[in-house]
Amino acid sequence: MEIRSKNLRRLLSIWYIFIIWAVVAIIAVIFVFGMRTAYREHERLTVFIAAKDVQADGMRDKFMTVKPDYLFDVKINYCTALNNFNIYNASWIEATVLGSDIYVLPESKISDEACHAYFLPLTTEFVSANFGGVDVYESNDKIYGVRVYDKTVGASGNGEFITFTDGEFNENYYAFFGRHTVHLGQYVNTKYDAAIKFVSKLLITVEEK
Amino acid sequence: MLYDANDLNKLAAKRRVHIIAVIAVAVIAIAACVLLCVFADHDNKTVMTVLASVILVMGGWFIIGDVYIVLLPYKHRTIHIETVLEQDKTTARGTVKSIMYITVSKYMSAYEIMLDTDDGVVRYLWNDEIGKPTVNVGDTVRLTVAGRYITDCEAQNGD
Repeated sequence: MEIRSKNLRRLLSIWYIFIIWAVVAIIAVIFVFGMRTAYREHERLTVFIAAKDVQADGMRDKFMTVKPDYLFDVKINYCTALNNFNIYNASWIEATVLGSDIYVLPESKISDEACHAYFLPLTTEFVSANFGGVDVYESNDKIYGVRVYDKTVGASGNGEFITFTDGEFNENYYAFFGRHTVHLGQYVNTKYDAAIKFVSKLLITVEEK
Repeated sequence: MLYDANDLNKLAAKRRVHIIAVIAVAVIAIAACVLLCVFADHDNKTVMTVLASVILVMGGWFIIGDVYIVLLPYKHRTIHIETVLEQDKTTARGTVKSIMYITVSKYMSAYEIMLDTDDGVVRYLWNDEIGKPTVNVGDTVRLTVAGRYITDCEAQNGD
C-alpha cells in the first residue's frame, strides 16, 4: 500500500504537468481537427444582408435544395438595425473581415469606398448573361452590383425571405460580390458558381432561358 | 541478502519493459489520432475531436506517469544499489525500537528502523523497493548494514 500511495503522492506532486498536458493536447486536437474539417473556400457561401427583416433559416433551407453539389454550407449574416450606426457598423465590419461572397445592401449603405475596397467589378456581359436585363449599380464608371429590389415596383419573386421596406424606409437594394469570392464561375476562373445561383434563384427572378 | 547484484539486471529489464510500453502507448495514441483525423468530416467532427482528445490526453498522462515513476528514478536506484553492494558491510545487534515510513529523497522512500544497541539508539534504513521490513517493533535482530542501509536481517529472538 505504501508503495502505491508513494507513487500516487509523487504523481500528485506534478499535477500541474498533467493539467498542462491536457490543455495543450485538447487545444492541439481542436486546432488540427478544425483545420482538417474546415470548409474549403468553395464549399461555403457567405452572404451578408442588410435589410428591414431577414428570414435567414428559410432562405438557407431553400437554397440548400437547389445548391450545387460542391457546396456544403451557406452562412447568412444579416443586420436589420439599419438606423443604428453602431450595430450596423459592427455587422458590416464582421462581414467584410470574414470576406462575404455576396453583400445585399440598401442604396444608403453603399459607398464608393466600399465598392472599391470590398466588391468585385462586374462586366455588362457577365450581368446580362447571368441576371438578364437587371439594373446595375455603378461607381466610377464600373459596374459593381445588380439591383435585387426596386423601390418603385416593390418585391417580385425575391421578397419571400427578405423584407426590404417597412413603408417608411424604402430604398433600392443591390447585390454585390466579394472581391475575393470564388463563386462566380468562369468570371473568376473557377468552376464554382454558387453566388450566381444564389442571387439568380433567391434574389432576382431571372427568366429561364 | 536483501541486495543482490542481480537486482541491477532486474531493474534494467524493468526499465526496458517500461520504455517499450511508453513507446507502444505513444505510437498507438498518435496512430489512433491520425486515423480519427483522416476519417473526420463535417458531420462527425465533434465526436472525432472528443475521441482524439481523450486518447491523446490519457496516452500522454500514462507516459508522463510512467516516465516520472519508473524511468526517471532508474539512474538514482541503480547508483543506490551499486553503492550499497560496493560498501563494506558491518553488523549491528539490538532491539527494534520503532519503525517509520519516511521519504529519503525525491526518488526514494524507506522504512526508518531505530535499533536499540549497546552503543545507544542507532538509525537504519530499509529500502522500500525491496519490500516491507520482516522485523517488528520489540524484535531482537542482527542487521548487516552498508552505510545506513540494511542489506541483511536476522531475527535473534531465540538467543
